[in-house]
Amino acid sequence: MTAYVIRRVLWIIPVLWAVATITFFLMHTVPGGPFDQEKQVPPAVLENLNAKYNLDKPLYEQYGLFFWDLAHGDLGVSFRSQQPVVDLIKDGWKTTAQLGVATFIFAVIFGMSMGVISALNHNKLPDYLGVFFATAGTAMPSFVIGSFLVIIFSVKLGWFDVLGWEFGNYKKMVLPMLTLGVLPSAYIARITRASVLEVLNQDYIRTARAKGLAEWVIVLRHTIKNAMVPVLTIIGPIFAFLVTGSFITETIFQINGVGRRFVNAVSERDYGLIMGTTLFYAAIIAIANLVVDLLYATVDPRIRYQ
Amino acid sequence: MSFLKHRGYLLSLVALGAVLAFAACGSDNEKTSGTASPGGGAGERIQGGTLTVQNLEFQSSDPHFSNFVQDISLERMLWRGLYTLDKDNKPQVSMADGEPTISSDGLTYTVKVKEGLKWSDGQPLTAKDFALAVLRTCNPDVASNYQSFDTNIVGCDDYFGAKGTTAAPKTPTPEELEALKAAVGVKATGNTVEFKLVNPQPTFKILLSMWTYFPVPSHLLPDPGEAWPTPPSPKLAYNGPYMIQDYKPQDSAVLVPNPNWSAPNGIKPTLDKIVIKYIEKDDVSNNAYRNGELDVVSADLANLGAVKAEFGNEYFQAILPGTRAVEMELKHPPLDIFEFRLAVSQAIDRDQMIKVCCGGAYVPTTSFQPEGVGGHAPDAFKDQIGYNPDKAKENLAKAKQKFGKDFPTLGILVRDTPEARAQAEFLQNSWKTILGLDTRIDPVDSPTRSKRLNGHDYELAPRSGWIQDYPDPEDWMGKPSGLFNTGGTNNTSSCSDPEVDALVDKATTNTNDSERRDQYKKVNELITTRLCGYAPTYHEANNNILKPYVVGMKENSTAQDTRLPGDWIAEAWGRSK
Repeated sequence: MTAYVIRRVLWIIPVLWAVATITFFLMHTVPGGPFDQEKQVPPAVLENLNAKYNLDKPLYEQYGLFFWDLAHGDLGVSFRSQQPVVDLIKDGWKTTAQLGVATFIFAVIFGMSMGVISALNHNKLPDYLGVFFATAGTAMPSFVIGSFLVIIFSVKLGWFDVLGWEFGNYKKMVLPMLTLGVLPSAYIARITRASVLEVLNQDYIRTARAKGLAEWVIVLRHTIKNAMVPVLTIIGPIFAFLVTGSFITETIFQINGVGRRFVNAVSERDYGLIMGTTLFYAAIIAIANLVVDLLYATVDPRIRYQ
Repeated sequence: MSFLKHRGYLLSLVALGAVLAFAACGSDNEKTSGTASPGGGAGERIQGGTLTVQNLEFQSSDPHFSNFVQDISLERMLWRGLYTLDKDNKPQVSMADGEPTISSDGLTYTVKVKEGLKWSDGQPLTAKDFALAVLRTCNPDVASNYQSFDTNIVGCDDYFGAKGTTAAPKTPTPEELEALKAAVGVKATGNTVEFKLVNPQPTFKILLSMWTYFPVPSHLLPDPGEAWPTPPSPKLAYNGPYMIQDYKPQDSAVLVPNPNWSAPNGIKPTLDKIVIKYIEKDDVSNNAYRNGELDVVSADLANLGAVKAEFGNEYFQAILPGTRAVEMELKHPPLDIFEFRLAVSQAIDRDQMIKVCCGGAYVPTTSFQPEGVGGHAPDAFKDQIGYNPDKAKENLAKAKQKFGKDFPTLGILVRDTPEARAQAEFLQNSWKTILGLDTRIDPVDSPTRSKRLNGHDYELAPRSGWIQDYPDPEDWMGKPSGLFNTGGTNNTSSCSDPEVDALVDKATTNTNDSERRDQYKKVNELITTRLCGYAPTYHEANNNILKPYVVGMKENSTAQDTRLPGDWIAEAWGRSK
């Protein structure tokens, strides 16, 4: 197991290198650069700006410089704000991670509850409601959900704030969490429902009932636990998706997260920030996938890694 | 099973109840009324209070580097130069002790700095701090975007270009760099700063009020090449009416009054603080305004009609010194034929376009240079280039005779935003309906559009134009803007007219103010009536919504506004309650 973990961690290095290389060259292939503005800067100014950010050097040299700096733990500076990329990611990710983790907890609890309730009330009203939520939640884009929530709960009722995120302040937490959390909780509800229904039809459940076990024991000990493996499969990517930030939710509520920063960096051709955030995302996703793989072994003892 | 049945319902109810209870907890939220009061904005300033305003986030707070309007908007709240422009765009004394002494050849400006001035940290503000501003702007490592403001200072270009170009790089020794720095024509002696110019420049006093001349706290940043710290920082000090107390990237900045603000105009801040919220999307900010979270926001242009109806007197439009036009690359046939350009211009119903595409957010015009900065009235060239479908068809027929074949499909290069696309679609429809011309809309993102404009890789580009840097016709028609003179920095339309070039040359060094203004005005007439690269369509405007208790914004709104009404004199902002 330890050898497997070490091997997987070492594999992250070439993955990150490949992601960085592809991003680097794609980024320079896209038309327009960080200093292309409608109001053209004088040639002397452009020369100095290019020199300041090493853009006057050949591409292979810029590529080498990037990796040299990266090896020294330096992701460079944002071409726009001139602030260190590491600081910008650190600032943004603190908020994004809070939003992501809070939403993840909400989505898992709410989605799994809905899924279990639906399955246990198969073809009854709660099931219909659960299926409706799972379908509508998957189909409705978050910008629609967010906009509706803002209009109803902020503008009309004045219950919550429109702007920002503040951990511990419910006025600033509820709407972003709901907006970001509806899709993953709907998805979790759908998978949980299907998985629980499948387990409920297994022979060992029938046997447990025949043995006269209490229903809550059957559900909690034998059904839900065994139904968790497929749910766990999707929880990992959902976690990675949530903690790496949502541009839409962060934009609707103007949250200073890393998702909004990343998209703005792309549209502004902020090369330094694009590279930094892409590598950061890639690292988070690679680590989340590794954690999920390791969790499989915990949940399902039949799985062994060598 | 019955337990489970009930348990299932129970869990459902618990989940639903939890959501509702969570939501209901907010019902005690105070909500500010959005009701308009007649004449909102009027009233006396009270002492204290906070104004929470929407703005775009600054890209850089370094006045010697930045070039975005939101940067300049902030920098003018934090720092001030030797002179400052008044409501009528005239430079008035700010940190200077009187008018500059100008040598008889017009090449040396000597300015005395007021005695007893202090930075926000209590350190003395001296002539050296103003001289250092020039050295920073001319420093190659700072790579100032607006070094052009200092280009007429002796030695500035040499120092700025010390490291050469990509094609011909130079590696000066520290001694050589020091010598280039020493040769820059700025010197602080005692309490006076002396600026030496290459050529006489009647607009130099206006430039001294611009952000690149804001002082550097030399006691904290003695080296002109040093990186400008991100505020708030112990390495920064301020001489403007406010200082930054807190800054959260992508979220907000909090400004508080500078206790050492010298108030040369007699106006001191009354607010306890200004909170600037960084919000890019106006629909979001408008909802926050409705919810009482913001006091001043940009109106959502996508719903401007509804915004005006909803907010009444709280809506405020400020016309800006900026012009948008359909830019035409004259080297691409048939745009080299004057009659073709004229037909294109005469087929644009500007009034209708602004109503349909922009909800009346801007002011239709046929003059490139606005009247307020020495240009012409919006309807001055209505008869020559304004909407006239019949004449447009006549001119197109003439152009076709000259062109000798069918016109090709022309590309409309436009930023991929809803408003820009709406304008492009309006124009496409007008040109097709009136002239029968086929066009193709090329929606691209901002850097791509800029790259293609600057590389002359386009045919028609709506929403091109100019936003004023400083209030003088020189900034519109002259060499600093470089829009119309042959080979000018921003001449992306390939406009080349000997008469225009000659007039620009004359006006550049003409020390007779009224004469040079007339010369620039004539340039505006020539380039507009000859459609030398641009068919003007509208003047820019800021569209804001302000709570009725906001004072000092509407009253001080002038052509110098950048992002917010009256942000050039933010010390006059306040609340009436």
